[in-house]
Amino acid sequence: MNDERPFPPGDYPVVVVGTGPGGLQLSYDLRALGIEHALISKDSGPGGMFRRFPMFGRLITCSRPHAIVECGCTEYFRYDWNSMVTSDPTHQALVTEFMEGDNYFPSREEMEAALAAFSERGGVAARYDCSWESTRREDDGRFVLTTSDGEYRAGLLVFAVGMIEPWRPPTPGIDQVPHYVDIADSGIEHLAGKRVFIIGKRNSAFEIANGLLAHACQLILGSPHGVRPSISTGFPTPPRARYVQPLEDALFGGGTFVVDVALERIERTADGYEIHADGTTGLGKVTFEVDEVIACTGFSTGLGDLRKLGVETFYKDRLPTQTPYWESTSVPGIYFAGAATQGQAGMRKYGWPSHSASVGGFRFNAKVQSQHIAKKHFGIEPARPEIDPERAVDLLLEQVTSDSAIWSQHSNLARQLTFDSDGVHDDGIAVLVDFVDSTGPDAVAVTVETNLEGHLQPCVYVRRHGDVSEEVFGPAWMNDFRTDENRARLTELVAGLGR
Amino acid sequence: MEGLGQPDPDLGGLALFSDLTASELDAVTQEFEEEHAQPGTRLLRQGFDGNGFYLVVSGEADWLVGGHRVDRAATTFGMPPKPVTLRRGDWFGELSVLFGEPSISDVYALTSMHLLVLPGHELEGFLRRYPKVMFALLKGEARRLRDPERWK
Repeated sequence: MNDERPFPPGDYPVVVVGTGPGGLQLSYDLRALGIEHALISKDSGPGGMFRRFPMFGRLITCSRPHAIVECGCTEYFRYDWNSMVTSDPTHQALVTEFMEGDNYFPSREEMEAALAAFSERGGVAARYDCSWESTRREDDGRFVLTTSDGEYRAGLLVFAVGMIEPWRPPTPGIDQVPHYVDIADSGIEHLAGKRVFIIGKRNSAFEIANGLLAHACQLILGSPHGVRPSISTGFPTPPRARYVQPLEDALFGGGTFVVDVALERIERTADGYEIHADGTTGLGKVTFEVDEVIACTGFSTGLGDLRKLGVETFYKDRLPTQTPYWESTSVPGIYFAGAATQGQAGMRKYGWPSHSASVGGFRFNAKVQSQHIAKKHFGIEPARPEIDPERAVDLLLEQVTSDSAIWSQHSNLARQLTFDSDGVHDDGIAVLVDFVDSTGPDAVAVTVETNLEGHLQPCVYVRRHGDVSEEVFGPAWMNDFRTDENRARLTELVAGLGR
Repeated sequence: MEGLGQPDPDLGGLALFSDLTASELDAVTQEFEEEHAQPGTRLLRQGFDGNGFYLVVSGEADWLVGGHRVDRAATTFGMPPKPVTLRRGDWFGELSVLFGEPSISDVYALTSMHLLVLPGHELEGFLRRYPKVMFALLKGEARRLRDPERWK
């Protein structure tokens, strides 16, 4: 029987591994630039982690069925954190198309269906059921991927393998308890009426806790650090608002406890577990007696044998170290896409991390990354349409008011215009940290930042004669920055650029 | 990112954390995010606002004002420039954060670096929650003023 799957083993300019949203979006963007590549996946269909997670039904990120702009237009995606971004409207598969309309958080199944539709409509072909097994580098510098289907050779590799491998700290006894990912297989029925200790206080911990409110008789969430939900920090740190019900339950004394403790050891007993801990806020030692324990202690990137190839990692060996364009800092030619791109932290302005841990952020990284790969490795220059200089200021203010990439990646991605002897050119979306820290012709980059008061404000970076300065603009009503005051100030800032 | 996990045992050896108990160290280090920097990475930007507080876990960095490597205290007292290299246990970014002003310096990674970083606006609350760390930071700042030639 003939194997009709695409991309049989062989030589390719690029091989992309993984068909979650990160791999699918990058493959789509590479194809749009004419970069030939193979897309392979161990899964039997598109979706990546959304084929399995989140286990309690709905995503943490929203897709607004009704927005202030038309659904699907380029400005819409800041209101829809989950859909893939397409250059052709006929390729679009908005997640809202697959939602019931009674919730603005899509279910796992709805997200998976949207990704499958995007693959089909966008022509994102992949070789499924093809597992990456090992990696090596030949003397000529090309990489060889050994897979369950055979060997792939490529000059560049992109790993979009997600960040869903269970990670545990070295707490004695923690290996005896299930991790978050194990609960997806076991379900939660066996936890009904039980006292459950959840190790951790991030999104996965609160997701489990939220799901168990109707099942467990007592919930304890414990980790050394206090809870700072996104609605109090002002940026998308965990836990997100979607899962804070257990926190309210704890505050109201409803059977949930959220405790600040350093875990010393976990011991199995005849009836369950004893958790020996030390309070980190001065309450001293404590032992919790519970029926079940779940380690919601985070995840690591599925790097396989890449460390042996020289890929350096950080964050307790959980993320690869990356350049501003998400290339391994230690093994050039190996790139990362999807959730692993959170390893490039960006500028952290006012504490804002990159938004690359979620689809809403990393889908825009893919477009920038594909253009970078096209230019650096294949000599394909990105389109840089010329702009009427008289339009430049208005264009920048329009973009900082409404551009979905900027609004999805505050202070990490920016809209860039270059002013040189040939005129003003639109460079599209730029990686802000690269713009700020590299030299080049006179240019302006605009982005949105959240200031210390939690207000959104534009920030303008002006590169003049090689030096970059920062110009912080003030907040505006309804986040519409197209004000006369901003227009006058920006006009003054760009005056003389390119001369 | 989902949790920093348990801290490196080595972190207790950093001057800033040296007075903490094991459980306090566990809690304190979870307040920070981890960051990796490759040589040449600009970690702090002169004239830029919204900075963080950085603690060097490993590696070395240059501290520059106006593109010149100088002693931090020399910028205050008009002393002769003396290059400073930031190393394990050193911290930077605190002046910009405490004064709420743009940074007066650039910091560039000289080597591959491992850092802990705290958002600037969280520093005050963090120091109030952990007075032992506040006192260690105070001692460090005082040492730099007392002996700017040898503040390390």
